Amino acid sequence: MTQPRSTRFRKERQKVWFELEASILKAESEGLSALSADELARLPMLYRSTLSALNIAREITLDVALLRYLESLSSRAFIMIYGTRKTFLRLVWEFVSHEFPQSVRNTAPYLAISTLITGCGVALAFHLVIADPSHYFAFVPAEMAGGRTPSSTTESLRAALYDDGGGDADSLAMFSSFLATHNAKIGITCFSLGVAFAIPVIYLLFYNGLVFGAFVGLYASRGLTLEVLAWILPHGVTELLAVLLCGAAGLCLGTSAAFPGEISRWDNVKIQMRRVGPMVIGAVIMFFIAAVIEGFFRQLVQSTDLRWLVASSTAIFWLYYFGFVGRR
Amino acid sequence: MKPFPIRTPEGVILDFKLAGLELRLMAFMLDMMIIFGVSVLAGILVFIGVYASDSSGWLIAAYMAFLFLFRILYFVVLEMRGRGQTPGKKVMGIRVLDSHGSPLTGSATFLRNVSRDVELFLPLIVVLAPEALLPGAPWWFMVFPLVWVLLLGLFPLFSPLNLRPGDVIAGTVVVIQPKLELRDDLFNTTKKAKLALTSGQLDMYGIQELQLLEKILRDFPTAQTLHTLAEKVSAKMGIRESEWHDNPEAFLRMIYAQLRSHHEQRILFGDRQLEKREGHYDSISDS
Repeated sequence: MTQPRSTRFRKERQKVWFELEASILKAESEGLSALSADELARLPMLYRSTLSALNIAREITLDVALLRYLESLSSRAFIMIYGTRKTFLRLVWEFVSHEFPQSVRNTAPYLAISTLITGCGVALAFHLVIADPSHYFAFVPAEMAGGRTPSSTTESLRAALYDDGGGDADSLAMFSSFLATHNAKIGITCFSLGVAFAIPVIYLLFYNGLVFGAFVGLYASRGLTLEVLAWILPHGVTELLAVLLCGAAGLCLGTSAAFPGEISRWDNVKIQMRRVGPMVIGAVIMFFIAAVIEGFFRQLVQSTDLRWLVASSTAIFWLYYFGFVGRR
Repeated sequence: MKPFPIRTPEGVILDFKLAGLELRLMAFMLDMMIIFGVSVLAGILVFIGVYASDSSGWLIAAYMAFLFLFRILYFVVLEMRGRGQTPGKKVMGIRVLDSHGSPLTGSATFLRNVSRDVELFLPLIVVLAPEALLPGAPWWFMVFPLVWVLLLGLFPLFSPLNLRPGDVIAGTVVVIQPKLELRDDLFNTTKKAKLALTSGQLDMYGIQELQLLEKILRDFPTAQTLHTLAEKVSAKMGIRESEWHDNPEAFLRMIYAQLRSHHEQRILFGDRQLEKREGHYDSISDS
């Protein structure tokens, strides 16, 4: 009885496989840097020769154990060699400097639409509340109002904007943290409901605009427009922008689901999700930045002028960032 | 275990196996246990800190920020550092892979992990407090998003490859980490054959039977199985019972060795016989 080819094949080649296996196991447990320069240099050669052994083995051998081993070894080596090569910080930097602003620029028309929808909500609620402050309750749920209602005096409304020992600023901090989580929730909901042909997104954006408009309207009816904007905008610029981005992402998904063009609906949604994904990630980070500005900065700065300064500098920053960063 | 073939840049197709839902759930629960443990530990420290100082608001705010960041970053950073494996996944022997075999990108990792929050918690909100999803909307308007969100949560049960929405968005799959184990060549552990089979006899079985025989010899070599098998094989190949009666295992190994040698010789000439032949070997018609 002659020795089968596969047995000879195994004997001739297995030294290479075992060397690759040792390198892989070492790199997997201690990182690629644990390999010596020599081992590292041999890695691609070992990988390619194992891969070609797998190719040959598939043709000539009927030894299942051998086939399984080569398959596993090639797979593990493949992951080691073609897996993530960059460090985490490098990837974060690439995201910040390219992926995010580019993804926002790619969806600029949707961003304009989502801004328009929110703007309509703001304008509508603002005018209704100015005309008759009791409309306020139609837009702001009672648990969110936190005692700031049309029946509050102008003085207590003003006091709530400044932490001058009045104590009302505390309850306002509560409200703003509520608003933050509320906004973040709306943002993420916008994105995940977008596939439903964007209808819930339009509703959510409009509703969010209504709450904002009613809130500003209440203060405006007491002549505190500038002060309340100075209170909201330092973090509000970032936060509202993030909501608008999520809304734009949702609209984009909705349209892609409604009008898939020549490919299947589901495929189109998948493609668009990958396109707007970085935007939603960025928006989540922006919500976080807004919360930090709100939680730490606003307690420290009481001057209206300074607050305006911060608000306008964040606005300029985002304009610059989304307009110019990462352009080719 | 569904197969998931990936073509390497070298043009070789590697057959990965998709990890099932239960493995992935277990890995996730392990990771959540680690996160929960660290959060509780940090919570105890914060609790002590709140008692020790009077500006407790900052500490609590910082703790909330920590909880949020830790939960998100735990998965993202560890999955990247571990080449697609968080500690939980490592224990369960599974890993994340780009579905086209390209390197796992940062945003893919981020997307699949952030979207898990949405997938898990949105349906929870829907079930516990439906009115919180679209505040102020009339009830009939809620039906559409409700259905969608529930679909989102139950998606992995129905999607063809049991993928999560997060995996679909990020273009990733979770596969089983292949085990590195080279088992002995059965051929080498076989004694020299005293019985030479003709090629007509060997042709009675195909490659499928050969590989099934290998599996049985390796994994289920009970006396009962081997005896029954030897009986069948010898009948089909026309071998007398006295040849195998003392030691069915040695006989079957001998058959295996000769079959493999024979079929490997044949596939060299592009002649793959996958299945066995019908009937029994007949020495007269063979010659």
